[in-house]
Amino acid sequence: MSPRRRTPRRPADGVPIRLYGLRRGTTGLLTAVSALFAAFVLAPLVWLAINATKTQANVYGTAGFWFARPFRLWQNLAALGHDVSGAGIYLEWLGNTLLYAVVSAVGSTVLSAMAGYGFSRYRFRGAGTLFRLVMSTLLVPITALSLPLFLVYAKVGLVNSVWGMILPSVVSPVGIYLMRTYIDASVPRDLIEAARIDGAGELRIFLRIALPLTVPGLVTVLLLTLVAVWNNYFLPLVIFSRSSLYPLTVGLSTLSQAAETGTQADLVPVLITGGLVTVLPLIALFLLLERYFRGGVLQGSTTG
Amino acid sequence: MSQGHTAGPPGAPTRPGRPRGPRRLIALGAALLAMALLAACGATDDGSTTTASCGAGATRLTFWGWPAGYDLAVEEFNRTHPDICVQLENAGATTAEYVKLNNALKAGSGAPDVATIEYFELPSFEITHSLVDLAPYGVGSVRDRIAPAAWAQVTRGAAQYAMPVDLGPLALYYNSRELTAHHIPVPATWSQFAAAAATLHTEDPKAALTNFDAESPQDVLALMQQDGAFPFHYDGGDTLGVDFTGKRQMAFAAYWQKLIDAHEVTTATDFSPAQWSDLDTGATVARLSPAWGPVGMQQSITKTVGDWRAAPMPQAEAGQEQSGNWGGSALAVVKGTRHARQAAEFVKWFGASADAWKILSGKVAGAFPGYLPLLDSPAFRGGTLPISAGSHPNEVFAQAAQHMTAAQWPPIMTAALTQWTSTFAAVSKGTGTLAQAFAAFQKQMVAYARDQGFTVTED
Repeated sequence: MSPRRRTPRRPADGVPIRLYGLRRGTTGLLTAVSALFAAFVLAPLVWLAINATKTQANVYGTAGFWFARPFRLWQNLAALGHDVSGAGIYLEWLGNTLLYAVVSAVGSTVLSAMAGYGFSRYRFRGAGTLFRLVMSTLLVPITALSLPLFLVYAKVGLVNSVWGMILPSVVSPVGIYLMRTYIDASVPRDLIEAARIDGAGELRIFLRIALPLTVPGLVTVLLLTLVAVWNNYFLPLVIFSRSSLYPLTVGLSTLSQAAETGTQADLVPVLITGGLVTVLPLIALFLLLERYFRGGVLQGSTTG
Repeated sequence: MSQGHTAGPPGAPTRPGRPRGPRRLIALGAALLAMALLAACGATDDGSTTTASCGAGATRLTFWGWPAGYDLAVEEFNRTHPDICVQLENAGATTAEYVKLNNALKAGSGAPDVATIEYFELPSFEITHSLVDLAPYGVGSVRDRIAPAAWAQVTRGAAQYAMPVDLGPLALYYNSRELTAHHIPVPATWSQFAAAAATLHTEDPKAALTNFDAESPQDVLALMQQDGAFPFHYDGGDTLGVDFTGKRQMAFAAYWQKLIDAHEVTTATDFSPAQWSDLDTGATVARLSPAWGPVGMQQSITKTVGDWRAAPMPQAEAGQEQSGNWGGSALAVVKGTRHARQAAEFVKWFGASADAWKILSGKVAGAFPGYLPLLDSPAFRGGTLPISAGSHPNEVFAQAAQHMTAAQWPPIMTAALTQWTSTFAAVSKGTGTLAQAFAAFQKQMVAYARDQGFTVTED
């Protein structure tokens, strides 16, 4: 299944590179270009990791891509557990982001799977119009909605409420679209027909036949929503005015303002360390779910 | 047979693997959910602790503020005033908070009882009648304890729209070791300042006297104010003066443009890594610094700690003592509050009591006082900082606070701040001059103010 693991010089399909007709010089050049891109993408992360170990004066005064004494990583990490700036506690923001992202991602995956399955496998009046309506919401930028959204939220009591963050995040037009396409491609109609003939109920068919066939699609939607909510800045900025409710995005920007306008505390390294810790869970998640995710992309493109 | 076996493993896991895939996924999902729920419990617990600390029957006030150490002052107030319970919320710093405050005022709910508002933004809220006049609540009784320049920023006629807290008077903060090494006397006038810049740059072509960050409206406007060239005139109502192209303003622009063109001052961004490293390597040897500047600077440099001294701002003519103000904020009571009397009591305590200032001027908050009993006290003026070794920078800054006039901030500062950076970027890039930027900004501000219904005068 994976011969490339044993013979790393061969590409994924097991054909030696020379058989593609590429010259050594060409592959060398392409490798160099990719290495350059990799460096471009990874350099900020490396900078974060290195500067998370410094004091504020050393962040400004020493070479950016090398370490300097004193080694302050542990103190900087410890500062994430305290309210160092008056802006709030980093760990609390991390907890909030986890809550918002995970609940929204799970909810959005469930909702997208159900809606996508409905659009894909049932015929009902207005299906086409309804689907186009869902898709058309993609065209409205959330920024344009800020004040109206806030005014509505103020009316229904969703300002400074966890649900104000989660409910809109659960609805994902892209997720519905993805799931519909995915189910179109990977759940054969014949299989569903056969299950119906065998006497399975609709819910049972959805849960036991359709869902297991769409795991890569589900993971894709889960990851996409998770990342979208994890990085969402605008919605929480508008609806929260209490730092104990902030997610990481808004919390870090408040900390950054405090670092700029503040006077006494050594906040810049804390900010950098916070930035580093913020990206780690996403990296871990991608590594963890990579094979499902990759499977999803490949299958989606080759089937149907 | 053996071939079938070797081909087997890749295919074999599919059967047991089919349930395993989703099951593992479900387990992972459950684990994530559990984590999130745990986090949620933590969050709600923390949210309620601030509420729980309120005594029964105490009047609850919501207070929006971002500066460091305000939480400590609020704690002290709550401890000493059991009948009022203030809950501090950080709704974002400066403009982020103002946007939220405006939204909440428009929605008619969600606004705090008390909000931190910087001096420059007060008129914008005043003109929309969003602030409670504190005069009827007797807050004026503390007038003689507040620096006159700060008091003038929060009053209009008999009305008082906020309680002043901190200030940011300007002084010349210079690297004494470098100036001595180049035999440059501390400049007392702007012409001496220009001469010092020229001497320094001639002796060391890589060095500049200071930085002029054209993209920072706060910095430039404070310098203009100090130079008697403040471009706005506003005294309440619908008439607004905008004057970036007058004689004094053009002279100001020409003065700095000449220094920029000669590379005798840099255009480094304020508070940027570049500025800190320039200040620490001797590439820049002075800073036109607000009073709250040195404490922050101390955290950002290493090699020159101990070399920095404060001197009064250079003057247009020898013998003058004019300073400008950069920063500082006030506490305003927001319209719609049901507890204006208690809110007024709180802001009065916050800005004008020894108890509050003990905390606000302390290590964590480090605010520069507009509170005269502290500002004038020998203990405050004689304070030292490692960055200035044995000298007393507060002596100079406190003196500067006596020689400031209140800036007449226009009620269109939100728009001005948004527009400023893009209009002035050409100056720092070297593709345009300060005079051109002033002329362009004049047009933009006049057009905007007229659009908003102001009667605009241009001189």
